[in-house]
Amino acid sequence: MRKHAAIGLGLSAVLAVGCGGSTGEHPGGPVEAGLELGTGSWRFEAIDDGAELPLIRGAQGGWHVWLSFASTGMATATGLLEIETQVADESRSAKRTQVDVSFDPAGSDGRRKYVGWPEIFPDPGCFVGQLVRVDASFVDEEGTRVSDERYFTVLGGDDPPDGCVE
Amino acid sequence: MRIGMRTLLALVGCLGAAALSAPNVAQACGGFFCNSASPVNQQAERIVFAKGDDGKVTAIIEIKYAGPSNQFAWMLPVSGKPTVRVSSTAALDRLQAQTNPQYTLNTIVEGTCRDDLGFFGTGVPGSSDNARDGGTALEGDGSGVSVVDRGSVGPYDYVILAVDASETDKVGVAVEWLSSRGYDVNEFGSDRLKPYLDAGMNLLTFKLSKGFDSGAIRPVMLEFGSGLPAIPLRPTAVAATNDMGVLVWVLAETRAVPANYLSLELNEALINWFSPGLTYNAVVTRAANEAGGQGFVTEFAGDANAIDQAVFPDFLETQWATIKRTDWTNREGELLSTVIGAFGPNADGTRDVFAENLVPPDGISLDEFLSCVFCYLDYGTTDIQGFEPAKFLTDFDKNVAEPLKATQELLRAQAYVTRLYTTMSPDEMTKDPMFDFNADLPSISNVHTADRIIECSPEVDRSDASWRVKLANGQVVRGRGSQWPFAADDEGLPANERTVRLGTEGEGEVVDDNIRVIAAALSDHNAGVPSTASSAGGSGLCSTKPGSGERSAGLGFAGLLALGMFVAARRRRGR
Repeated sequence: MRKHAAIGLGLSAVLAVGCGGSTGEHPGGPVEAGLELGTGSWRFEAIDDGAELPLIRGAQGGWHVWLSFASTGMATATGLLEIETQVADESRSAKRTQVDVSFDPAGSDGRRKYVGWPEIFPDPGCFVGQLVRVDASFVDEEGTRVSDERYFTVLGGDDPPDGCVE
Repeated sequence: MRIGMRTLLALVGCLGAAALSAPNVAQACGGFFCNSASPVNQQAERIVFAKGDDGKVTAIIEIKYAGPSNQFAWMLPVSGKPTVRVSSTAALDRLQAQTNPQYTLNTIVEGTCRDDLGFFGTGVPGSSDNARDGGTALEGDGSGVSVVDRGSVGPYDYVILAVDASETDKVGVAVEWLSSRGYDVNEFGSDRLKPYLDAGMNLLTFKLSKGFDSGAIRPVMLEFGSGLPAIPLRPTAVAATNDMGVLVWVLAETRAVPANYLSLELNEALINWFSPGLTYNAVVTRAANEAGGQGFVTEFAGDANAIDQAVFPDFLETQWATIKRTDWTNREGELLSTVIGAFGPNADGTRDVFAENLVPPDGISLDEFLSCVFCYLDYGTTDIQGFEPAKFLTDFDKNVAEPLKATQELLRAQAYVTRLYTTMSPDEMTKDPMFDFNADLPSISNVHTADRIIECSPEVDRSDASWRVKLANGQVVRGRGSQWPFAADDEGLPANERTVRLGTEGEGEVVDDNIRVIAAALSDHNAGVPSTASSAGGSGLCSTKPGSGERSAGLGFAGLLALGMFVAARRRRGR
């Protein structure tokens, strides 16, 4: 793991968002374990209150939104990521995904990132304009679990899907 | 993408002196000698994406299979109803050959080695000196499955299925439907497909049509709607081998980038420049592994003009047009000879067309006949029993020439081509790579060049002399004899010089920068390789060949600069 000068930044990020668990070892001392759910295909971008995320069309893969994740204080960079996506009013059934992931080496902000998960939406037209809740949790190789929950409104994007077909 | 198949892919010891008396740098294949470019051979799953002006994406996907033809099945999750055609393995072979990475080592000799004095020859390099080539539903039957499209193309029958959203076991329903109709997909009971079907995607499944064997398998061309090109890798994990190569070309207006995968920049000191083909793949594999298993090397990015004659060149198109309009009455032997001469015997579909139109001579199999048409067929044969030139030409045009032409037209329609390569193991295939575009990024040549300076003296043969190789990034690798000093798995050197996340604009964000680590490791190594250029050369410690007019001091100064870079503390990172 790299040494970092900005441990404080990472710690404040943990305290500001996400749900921590135990604390992990860090060259600068123990840092509370935490996860922040964000967006971005190639770099982590925070999802703030009232955020709007566009649907992206994949030529073969339907429509998705980009999700990204930033962790702190975890013992390992690898582990299991669980994602649950649901319309905030729970009028549709939730979509759950489990995936083995390997976070990038910690950056200058002290956080490890897993960037560019394409969260595909079934019946994407039914999500346009809807407030969506995404719950994410990450369990590292030592069993430490951290999680985060974010809300955002889904936009149709540059190449929107057809309307909602029930 | 392919699933359910049985086999589916310096201490520069005398820097001061050298700087002042550096040799003339050999011109490409001039001067003393240089090595021809060594292409790197790769075994990989091959995919071409072409993004048209209308935003629509066409993909050419190679299918590899070894096994009984009646057990062949190939399945791909798709959105909607893509148009299905066949393409050509030859097209992919030619595209690959045109864009393969090449490593060229220009060799320069300083001083005079013992064998240069007449003991062992006159400057012709020994073999060990040379770098060698290493280098909308149509039907529903209550089964929970709807047929969106079906048909036959080339050697394949295909069907596109939509699974009813209300089905809880979507994979099971699809597999049952396909199995009952002759698609051997019993191995597909994998949750790998579930995310795609849950997302409302359809399943495109191929099998070989009756009468075709596995030798007829050829790439398919699929025309999708608009959107970012993506590789649905997760199903591939079912039958993928460890460190399976994935080779992708993306054709568009600008350079493509791996949208959600890392961009890998290789540490070229790990590549064996004497035999690049021996280590290149291993270095890429290590680089990808060090990046968490999800990254691509950009092997080429540049003008698509480089490939506009790669598949169906103008001369072949003209020749084929002439063949088609010629009257071949009573010239049937000449026709077959001319066609085979133009396209070769191995172009995709050729075998099938011959099988359909010609009965080989008694006791000769079709494959034997095709392997040497001229051995069994006289050029002057006027009439071949049962052979109809017009039908043969129509069949050949449809099954061989047109797919080549369509592939070439696809390549010509785009301004820019980007070639990306990685290797992946099944456990790394957890995220489907997607490709986006960035017009800010520079082109990347597939030709890599370095200079090797052999440090000669009369006390040593050239094949035993020390040498230094200056890489394009200015780093220097020292060695002796014909051995490259590092193995691809050398733990002292990281395989990535840098890993970068590239977006749709700008130069991206560096995730991991190993430049200083590599420089420090090379410094340690180089300090242990003394120069064999001795006082006998007449130029102090380093015997250099006297300049003959044009003087190049760059190598020596570069060495000094390199040493300056090496002061950085060596560090290792853990994950």
